[in-house]
Amino acid sequence: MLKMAKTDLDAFVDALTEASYVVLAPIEEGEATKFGVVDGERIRIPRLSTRPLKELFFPQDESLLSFDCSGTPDTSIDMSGVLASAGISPRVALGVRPCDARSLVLLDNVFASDDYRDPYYTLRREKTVIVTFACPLPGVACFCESTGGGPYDETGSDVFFMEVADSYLVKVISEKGKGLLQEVSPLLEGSSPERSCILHEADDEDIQAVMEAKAVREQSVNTGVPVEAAVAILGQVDVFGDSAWEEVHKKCLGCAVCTYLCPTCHCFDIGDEVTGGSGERIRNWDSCMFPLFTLHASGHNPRPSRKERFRQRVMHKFNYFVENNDCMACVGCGRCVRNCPVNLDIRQVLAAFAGRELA
Amino acid sequence: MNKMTGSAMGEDTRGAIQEGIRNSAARMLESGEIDVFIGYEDGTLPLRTTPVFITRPEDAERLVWGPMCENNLTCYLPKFQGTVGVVVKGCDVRTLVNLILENQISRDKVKIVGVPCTGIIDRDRVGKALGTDRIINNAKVIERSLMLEGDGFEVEMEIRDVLASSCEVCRYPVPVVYDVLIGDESMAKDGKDPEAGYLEVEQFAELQPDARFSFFAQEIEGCIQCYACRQACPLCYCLECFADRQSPKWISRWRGLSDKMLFHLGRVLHVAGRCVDCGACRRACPVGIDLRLLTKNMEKVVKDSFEYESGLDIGGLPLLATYRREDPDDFIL
Amino acid sequence: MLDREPKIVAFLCNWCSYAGADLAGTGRIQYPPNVRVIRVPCSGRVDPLMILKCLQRGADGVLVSGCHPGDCHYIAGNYLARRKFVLLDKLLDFFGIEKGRVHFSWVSAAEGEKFADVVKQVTETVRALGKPTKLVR
Ligand code: SF4
Ligand code: SF4
Ligand code: SF4
Ligand code: SF4
Ligand code: FES
Repeated sequence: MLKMAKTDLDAFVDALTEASYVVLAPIEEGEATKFGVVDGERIRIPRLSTRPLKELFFPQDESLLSFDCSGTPDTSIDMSGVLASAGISPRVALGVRPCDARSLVLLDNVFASDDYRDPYYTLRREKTVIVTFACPLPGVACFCESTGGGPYDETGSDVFFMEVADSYLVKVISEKGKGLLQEVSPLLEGSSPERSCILHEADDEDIQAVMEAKAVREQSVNTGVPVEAAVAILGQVDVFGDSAWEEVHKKCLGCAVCTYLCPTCHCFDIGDEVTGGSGERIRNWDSCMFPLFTLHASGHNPRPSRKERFRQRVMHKFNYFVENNDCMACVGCGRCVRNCPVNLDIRQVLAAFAGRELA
Repeated sequence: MNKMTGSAMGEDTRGAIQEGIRNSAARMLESGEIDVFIGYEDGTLPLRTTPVFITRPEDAERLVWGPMCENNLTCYLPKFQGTVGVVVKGCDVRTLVNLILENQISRDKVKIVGVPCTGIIDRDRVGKALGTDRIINNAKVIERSLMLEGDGFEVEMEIRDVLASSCEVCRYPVPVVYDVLIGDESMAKDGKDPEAGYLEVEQFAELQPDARFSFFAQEIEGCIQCYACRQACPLCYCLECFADRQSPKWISRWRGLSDKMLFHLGRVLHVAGRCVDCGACRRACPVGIDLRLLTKNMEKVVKDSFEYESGLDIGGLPLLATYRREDPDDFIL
Repeated sequence: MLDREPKIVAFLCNWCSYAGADLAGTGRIQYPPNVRVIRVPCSGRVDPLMILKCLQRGADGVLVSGCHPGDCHYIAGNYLARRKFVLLDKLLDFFGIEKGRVHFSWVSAAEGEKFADVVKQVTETVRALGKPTKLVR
């Protein structure tokens, strides 16, 4: 385990940049924070970025290919969209929180599985090293522990930073992470002492301190959410027609806050944007909470009301995804809890089902 | 009864209002006057309440009242069949009036429990006043202050310093229509400065057009098109929003800024003469986009050009369903 | 100043302004060929979104023209439209879109001369504004 002073973080980032990595970290956009390119600014890592990490790999919108069928009878298709992703520089996502890092492993089931490998997603994934920072005291909406994660969970990370007093302990998790540190080590000594980062071996005392901090923080996460019990109930056939859906969905407004901000929601739409004879095929986030999501061309909508849509969201996360991938599609980051305009709390929904005897 | 001054708006007053709401709800449910009562109950996070739908008189105890009752509950009304009781603040009742004018609900199907409103808390403001990333574990309203407890701190804030921006300039804090009014009208007017809202708009209008445009461009850039602003607005009840139309496709969910601008311009036009500055859209936005200047300016345009104020006259006609011969004509060639 | 010919979309109501344009044509009154006419049943048919969409998809200017107040074939279509136009006009201005991209006029079936004048005036204003950048996609 390595150790560096907190104040050396900016110098560490300088070294990454010098090693030709694009550094992506939480940046401010208006009132919100999201992962974006840091370019000389000081790094400030918020508790959890407003917008999820997923957009670095599965952006809100992207062009998959462009085509031109205006001239000759032949349609020419330009796949430079894919090539552009292939050509992206190596990147480092820095200041990721454990829940977000874990979400990538869940998303891999969808976009980078044995059945299907999405070229856009996988390329970005391959080119990105995930540098996670253990959580400070968890927020009131967090429930990562209940979903199998935790403030020190290393799943999905390549390098893991843990704070003790004025320092970070730096743990290498994966080969990718090891490679990154090897590459930047020679560059850590900057032009001046202020611009240098000193990385040295941590001693036993440091490790002891980090274990203590870890225990405190893990204990303060809300562990009372009966996720497992809810998953068991939601796995029963009768649940689909259960009357509880009527109650739990009632205040939902049908916006896309919970799904767009969720680090694991991954539904998308593909469409062509055409002007004249040429255009682009685009992919953008979609949300099961929108009526348009399931609207048929005939006008029929198999999920006609917010009740069916809300049920879909819960069932997908805690049942269908579990059946398909052996894990639930929730990392307990609490973004949906924190940001729902009407405080419709998924934890309460799970609790409502966990305690339910189905008829 | 003694007239209470603003500073005496204490726990007792709030408690009395809460009691009043609970009693009204229970009474109306018991007598069968209403099938459901829509109010607020405690939320799952500090500083939050959440909408609740009460159908049994004994559940009326769950109802709460205070400056954390931020949602505009009238957005649920068109969903319900039967008779509905609802608790409303000064702004909420004006969207309700509009829903009646626009034939979305009928007056005799709703029982209005009005509360003269002293303003609601803006959670973002509280967060900012506290400093970044502090965790609030507990928030309590005591008299006119907010007591916050968190990771190693205890802070007291004056509620008036963290009011929602719409509330600071509220023109009609006392419900203009109601079946039952609970609380004291005099307190509601306290500390409000209705003209300041227009002043802000006027000052902004004095900037150069390019500066105004860049301001909006910057604000709208961050929009993620989640449409929470639309969904939270009681007046955005269209079965199919123009933003969701596929043919013609007015708004694309691709390549951002221009389409996002069109959405927001379209939305402002669609709520023109209807918006009551309740601020629900602003609060719903997960990324903090504030386009209140646009709606507030529209409110002022409507007032100046047509001498019309939204949601005040339950016997009137919607702004765009009528006209006057002498409406402004000087901009037409 | 625009270095190419401006493209202007003109929404003309069927009963007055479209006939006015026709009259300008049959009367051989010259006016700039920059307008692309879209015939609408009434000025009341013009949804402000249509105007915004034109600006977004590259029109340099938009003209909406209907019957004079009191003359609308549908009695009040233009009065109702006028309210919407006030709102749009003020909104665009407040939003920082340059004045002069969007124009409104009343032109009757007998006013071929006026139609030509309106088109001239609109074309020159739009030309002077230069290339639109603000709402364009
Ligand atoms: S954020 Fe809340 S209101 Fe919006 S769709 Fe999700 S649960 Fe419903
Ligand atoms: S469902 Fe909610 S808590 Fe779970 S991962 Fe998504 S946003 Fe986070
Ligand atoms: S537009 Fe916003 S402020 Fe206006 S009525 Fe709707 S939610 Fe309220
Ligand atoms: S709520 Fe905010 S992010 Fe969502 S559509 Fe409205 S302005 Fe955009
Ligand atoms: S028919 Fe010409 S404006 Fe209505």
